Amino acid sequence: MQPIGRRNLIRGGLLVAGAFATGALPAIARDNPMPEDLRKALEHAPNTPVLGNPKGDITLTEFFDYNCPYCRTSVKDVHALIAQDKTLRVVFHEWPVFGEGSVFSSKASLAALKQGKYWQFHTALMAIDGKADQASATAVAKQVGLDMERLHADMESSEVLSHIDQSMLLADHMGLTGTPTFIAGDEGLFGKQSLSQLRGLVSRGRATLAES
Amino acid sequence: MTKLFFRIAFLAIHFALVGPLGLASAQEFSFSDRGSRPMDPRDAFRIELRLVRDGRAEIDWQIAPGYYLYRDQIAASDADGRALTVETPAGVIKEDPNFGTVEVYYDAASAVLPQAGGRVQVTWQGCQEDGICYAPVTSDLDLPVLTQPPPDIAEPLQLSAQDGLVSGLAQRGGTALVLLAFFGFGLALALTPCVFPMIPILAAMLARQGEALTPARGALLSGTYVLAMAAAFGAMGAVAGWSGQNLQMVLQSAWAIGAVALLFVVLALSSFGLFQMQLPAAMTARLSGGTGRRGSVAGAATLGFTSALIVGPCVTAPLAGALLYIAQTGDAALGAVALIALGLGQGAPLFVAGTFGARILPRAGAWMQHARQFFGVVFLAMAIWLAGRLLPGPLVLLLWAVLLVGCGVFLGALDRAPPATNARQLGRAAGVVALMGGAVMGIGAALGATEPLRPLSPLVATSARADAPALAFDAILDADQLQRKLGGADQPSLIYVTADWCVACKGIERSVLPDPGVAKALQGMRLLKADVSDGDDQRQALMRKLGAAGPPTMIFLDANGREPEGSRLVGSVNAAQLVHAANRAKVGG
Repeated sequence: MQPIGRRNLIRGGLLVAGAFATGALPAIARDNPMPEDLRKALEHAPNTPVLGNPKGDITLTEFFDYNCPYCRTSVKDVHALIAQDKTLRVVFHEWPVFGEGSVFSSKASLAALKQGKYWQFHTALMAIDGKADQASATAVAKQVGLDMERLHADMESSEVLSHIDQSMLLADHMGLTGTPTFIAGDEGLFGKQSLSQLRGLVSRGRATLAES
Repeated sequence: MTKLFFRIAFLAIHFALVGPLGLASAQEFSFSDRGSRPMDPRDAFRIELRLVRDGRAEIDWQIAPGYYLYRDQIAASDADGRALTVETPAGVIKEDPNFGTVEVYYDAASAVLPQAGGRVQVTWQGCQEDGICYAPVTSDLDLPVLTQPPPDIAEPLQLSAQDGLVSGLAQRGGTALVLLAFFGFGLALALTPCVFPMIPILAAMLARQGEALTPARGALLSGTYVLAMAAAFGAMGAVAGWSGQNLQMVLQSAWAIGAVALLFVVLALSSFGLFQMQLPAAMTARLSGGTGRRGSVAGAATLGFTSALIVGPCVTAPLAGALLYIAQTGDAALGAVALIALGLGQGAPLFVAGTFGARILPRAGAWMQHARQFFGVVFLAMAIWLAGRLLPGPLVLLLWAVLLVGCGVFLGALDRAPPATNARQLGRAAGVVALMGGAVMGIGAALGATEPLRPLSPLVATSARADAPALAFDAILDADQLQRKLGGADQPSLIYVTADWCVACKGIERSVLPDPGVAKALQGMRLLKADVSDGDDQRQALMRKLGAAGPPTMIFLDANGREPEGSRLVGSVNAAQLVHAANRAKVGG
């Protein structure tokens, strides 16, 4: 089964386009600035999990997969960063690259967002032993007390599917090759990062944005 | 795509969508470059077509240092998107702290497409060690067009009918013959590993009675135990008719196993005299009419029911026959009564032993106390054995070590005073042996060993592997994977359905598969293993596809993917049966 159909890709494309349309502002102060419309799509797309301080002065974006071993080992550092930096805003892009189990997990996770339990679900699923798939994601969903009937319905909703489509489109267009990928300001870090590397990324991002 | 810069280049679709909206998004953007970046996946894993001959293509990957490729993520499809058979050699076992064991390749990898032509897409996926995990990468290969079309892989599996047992008996002699035959099958199965875990449970249950154990009481308790066991078999039939699932597999959940393990711990503590087991009075009154030591009848029923379903789930040929009969005809009633008869047959010798054992044994004496304590240890052992299905191997080995050390100490291994009697001296000798065994297991657990009978295997693992190369089974996880593995090459196959909770499978893996005759018979066969320990939807679908009721089941297919009639082996098997079935598959029937 092809998890992401052509129809969904086009729908995702439309969403990206919509986000671009609302955020088309010129940014020219820096040498190589990220276009504001892209930043809008990356950091402020609808139906995207936002953690940390929603009104923070800088956004750290992570592309991840529940079955990527180095995404799991990065969880504690992202948690620590959020705890330490009270003006940091974190955006997650679910980018399921490890097959059907990952797609199921991402859909469940985004459906959990609609019940206000994204953080609990995300943290619990990232902490399991073994693969994230239909069985383990369902078990975690029950464990964190999600309404299962609603979850199953929401998993196929256009909001959930378009988030995944949009993440795939964004990753494709930015030429991202894998997970985890962290982005702040105009900079990207690719692969697992230490807490201090993440902290550096965020502080350079702040400095970069202050230039403009 | 450049190697150094990740570029935004909005594609045609975006121009089409975005253009009319008047966005300024077509400008290019590259991330500012800091620190080292992982390689582009096509550079980290350089794919090369090495050889193409007669529709057989061999592919190589050169893998950069510090990167690895997943074996189970290599796949290929033809121009129509149909999955092609891909043969890959065994990889290196990588222990991932999160995912457990995965099979990967370092430095180089290879794959063979035994039957491929035209435009072929090969997909693979890998990671940078401690860095990034790449999204799957797909490469197009142009191979010479096949002169003859590939064999139809839509249905490479042609199973023979398996529902003949119950319907055949019913046609010949009606329900009475079905019941009689299944009782007989049960009796024949009474001395197989399926019943072994029930013997210590029943014995321990009777020993707990102490001086109150009369022949009548023995008959009551073992009869209750056996009836509950038979009822559990009947419930399996009812559930199969209702939901098409094997109840034994559904109940191999962490909750059920954990609860029963806990029950055994409670029984053990009670056997050691820490407290008296007493169910609430109202419940016991209802269960046993308010007479005598009431709790134990309910206990016998609970143990009988859980023994059949959770402690020692065992799929045997008649059980599989009845479950498949129900699945295929929907006649749950006849299937369920056949299963009850099977359970009664399997339990009959237990009932006889429970009744007459109580008659033979002396009534009173100090031995009763020792017997209770001994069976308390047996209960603890059962709890650890069950917990082994849930906990990591070294932790289970540590529990065995603690149990043995505990036994050693209680048997007086560390006492200084000289033993008063010969019996005590013998007990102390056994205690010293237990203490030493426990110590060795404790060391083994610290070394990461998992097998109680080979606690120091990490120290000798390399030489042991070299002595006895294990048969290389390819794991299949779902029906799609089965289809892919079977498609294409004309080679006889064995599909072995197993699970880590399956007692009979352990016997097969320990003493039948390593047999040199078996290894010879299986030479040249495609060996596939379907591990259904985790009875999730995928595994249930796979079992339905195979027409299998549960583990252990061995399905033999000839080179055309056809199952020779009557070649299927269900339940415990011996080497001769396996060799015979393998040879039938090789000669095509």
